[in-house]
Amino acid sequence: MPESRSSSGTMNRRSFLRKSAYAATGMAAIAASLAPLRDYDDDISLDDFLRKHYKEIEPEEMEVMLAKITQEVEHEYGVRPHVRDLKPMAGVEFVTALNLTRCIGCRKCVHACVAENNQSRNPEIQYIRVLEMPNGTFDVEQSSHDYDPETVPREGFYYMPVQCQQCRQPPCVKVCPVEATWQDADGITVIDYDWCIGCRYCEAACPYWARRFNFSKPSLSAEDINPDMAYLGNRPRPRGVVEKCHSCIQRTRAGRYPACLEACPTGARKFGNILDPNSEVSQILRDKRVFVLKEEHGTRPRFFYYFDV
Amino acid sequence: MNSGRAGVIFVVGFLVLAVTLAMDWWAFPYEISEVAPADSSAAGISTVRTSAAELVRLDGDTSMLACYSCHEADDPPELQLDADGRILMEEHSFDFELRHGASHRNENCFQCHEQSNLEMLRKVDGTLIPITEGNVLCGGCHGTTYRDWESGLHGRVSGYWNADLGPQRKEDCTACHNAHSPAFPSLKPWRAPQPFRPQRGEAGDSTEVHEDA
Amino acid sequence: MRHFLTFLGRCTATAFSGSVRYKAWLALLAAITLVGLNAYARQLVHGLETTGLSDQISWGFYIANFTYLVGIAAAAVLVVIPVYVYRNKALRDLVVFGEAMAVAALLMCIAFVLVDLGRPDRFWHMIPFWGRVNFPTSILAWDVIVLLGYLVINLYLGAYIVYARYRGRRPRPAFYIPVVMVSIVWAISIHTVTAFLYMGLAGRPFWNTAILGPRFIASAFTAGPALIVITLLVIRRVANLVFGDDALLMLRSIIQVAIVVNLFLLMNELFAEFYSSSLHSNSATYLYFGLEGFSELVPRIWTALLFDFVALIIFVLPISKNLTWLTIACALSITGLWVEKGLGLVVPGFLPTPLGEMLVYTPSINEILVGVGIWAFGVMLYSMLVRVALAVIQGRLSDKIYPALPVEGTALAQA
Repeated sequence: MPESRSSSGTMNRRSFLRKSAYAATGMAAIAASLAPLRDYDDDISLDDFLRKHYKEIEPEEMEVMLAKITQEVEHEYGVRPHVRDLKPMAGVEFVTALNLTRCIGCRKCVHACVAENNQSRNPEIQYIRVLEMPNGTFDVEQSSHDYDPETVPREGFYYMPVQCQQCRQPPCVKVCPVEATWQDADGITVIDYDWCIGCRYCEAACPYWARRFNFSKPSLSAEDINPDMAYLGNRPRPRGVVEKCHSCIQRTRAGRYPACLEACPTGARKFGNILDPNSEVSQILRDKRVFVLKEEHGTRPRFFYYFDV
Repeated sequence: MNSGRAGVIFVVGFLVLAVTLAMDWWAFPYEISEVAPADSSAAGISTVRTSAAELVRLDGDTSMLACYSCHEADDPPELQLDADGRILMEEHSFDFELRHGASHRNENCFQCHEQSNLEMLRKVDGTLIPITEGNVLCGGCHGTTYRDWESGLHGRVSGYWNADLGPQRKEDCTACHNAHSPAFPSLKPWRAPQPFRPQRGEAGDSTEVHEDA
Repeated sequence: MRHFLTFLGRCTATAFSGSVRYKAWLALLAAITLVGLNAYARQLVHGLETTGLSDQISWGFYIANFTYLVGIAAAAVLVVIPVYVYRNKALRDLVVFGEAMAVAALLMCIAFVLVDLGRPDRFWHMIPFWGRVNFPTSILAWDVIVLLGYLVINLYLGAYIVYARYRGRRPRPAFYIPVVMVSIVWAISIHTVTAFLYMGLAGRPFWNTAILGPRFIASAFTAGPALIVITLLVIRRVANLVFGDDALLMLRSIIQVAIVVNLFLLMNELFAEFYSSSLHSNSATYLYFGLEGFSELVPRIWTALLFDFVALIIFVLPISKNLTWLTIACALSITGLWVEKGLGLVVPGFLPTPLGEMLVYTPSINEILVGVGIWAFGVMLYSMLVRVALAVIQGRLSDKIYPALPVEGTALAQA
């Protein structure tokens, strides 16, 4: 390139032009590589981007956000939801007990949960997994998840539904790098869907495989929407965040039973306040031989199983 | 190669690349399993059957409870037994299976029904109760289960766990158990979960290949 | 300050100039990077459904590469230790290439973490004092902090040494020796913390073993120096940089120790897994022998182990003093460990799932393109850093020749 040694102005100008051409080509290629973004439909406003962590939101700001969620849901699904920010009740700690003798493995709870909690229908997100376990073992690796006989229960098997165990020492909360998930005073581990960064470390940490990630934008139709919503519960989730069983806080923090319990045809599920000595769960923990899953992990679940003839 | 020509190659090459990128030629399909439509029937909280008490409460068809629309009031029925001492059911006007208790322990109509007043139930101590109060009758034999049922440990509940905020609804024994054949019925299971990504052997029919928009 | 800004400006100009061959190399890497960027843009639009990941196997190709590259970054310190702790002259001029590799590898690590996030727009939640970092309980929070710290340390060290050289001054020990000492400990820590990321998960028995930390270090101290050996050989060939073979042999002796330790630790791990043969060994069974008919990783892991083992043999034999054999052995251990500590570490940790499911994970093409793009970007960055460092070391870029001739087209820049 002898010309670049020249100090002549025209040469410098030509060099400048050539560099500009390179730069322009480079910019064009970068812009072209970003072409898929033209289909980007997630409208992230500056407000969304700078949204505060749940625990830092002032009550009046929460009112604004609930109104915004109401508006968004109504706009997207044509259903006006009733969105609340339900706080834990004083003197309440929730516990679930599940009677394995009663469970027949019909999976009604699984689908009732989906209907209640506005989970994505496609891809399918379910909080409860029912394991068909052969008699004589407690090894989940021998279980079947996709059993599909004509009728259940099948001879020689028992059925074990597994969902978030609402641990007292939750590994998922421990590993979350941004405190997007925490254990509330009533023992329910909740997720701030607007704070979760989607790293899925909690999915790796959970020994009960209770967490689900929104790999795609959740899809549900207007008739699927359950309009009774809670901020930390079943309001529609954005793409790219983790969700999980929150014990139906939109129901339970309003005094009602969770959806899986009400749907269970056999009454295998029991739920209530362990701090109330007369609650069903208190009596079960007192009178039945209950156990927890994977006790050796030290997670101290609030979800108890028992057999009871 | 002189740098001028190299520059031209660079510009042309990158422009070609830019075109292929912009045209989505680098978009490759990825696989997601196709999901069958959701089944919303699971959300219902109805019981597997309707108890007599519920039938009366709901003003339903109680003709089955009107024993004396067929039986003669002053002619108590006698049991027809076969050679093994088991009841012959074909005498009865409607079909049902009598299978209460292992080894046919409780297969005698008049252990529960009052022979002289068929519309009343007869507790073990001999007292008579209306058919709509069957729970107590069941409790006569199934004491521990009855105790559990009373405190909500056995059976279906719905409504409110917190009595201060709303009522709790408890179901009758016969909302789940047919008194004549009390074993809980087998059910067709609801749809099995589907893996998010198609698994081996399933690809093809159940695969939804996502081409980019 | 003004001097330093001028220096940075000239460095940038140098990084983008050079021979046609150098520019073609950069252009090729840039093209691959753009294809990767394109794939990532697609992932941004459609979400992580464009990958092969699922709720069962929620980490894959991205995190595997991240883990491997943390090891590469940590290994940069192995050029530093001999020079500053043992006063090894042979490696002194080469320290800066190690620093450059650390910087490039760290940026690739950060990129791999970023592309793995479901919500990259919320990355700031992880930044201390701005977001809400779950420190000190979350090991991922630790990892972000130590990685950023290590990046700063290496940027500082590399820049300081090169800048001093550029100004024709001797680096002042007070300004860098303490930092060097910190960087040595820090390097070990970044990889240990990355191991802790996995080790701390009680629900994943394959990872929940104390040997993972030592193994991470041992394998990093094999693959890292091996990569440095190969890049040094490339640099020596294309850039006419004169340095003796003793620098390479110094690295060889480090690898000799590390590779033996790594295989020893692996043997311990395999013994514990397979002799006890509890249910917790099922992940290892899946990896090495296949489980319930799932055996995707079996051929890969045995190939990797074969590579590791052949590399070990070559490294311990005197033939590896021969540069050809050394290169072969380095290439084998780099590839072997990439499999072993990449997908071979991440995927079996998820299988069987905590509820006993078995599934297949295959990275999607889009996922692989994103990964390849990040690698191309890293190599491009490394090439530029090396080019700048070379220009300074070889005296072509110095404030003694200032203002310099137009860098482009000068004979000196033809390197």
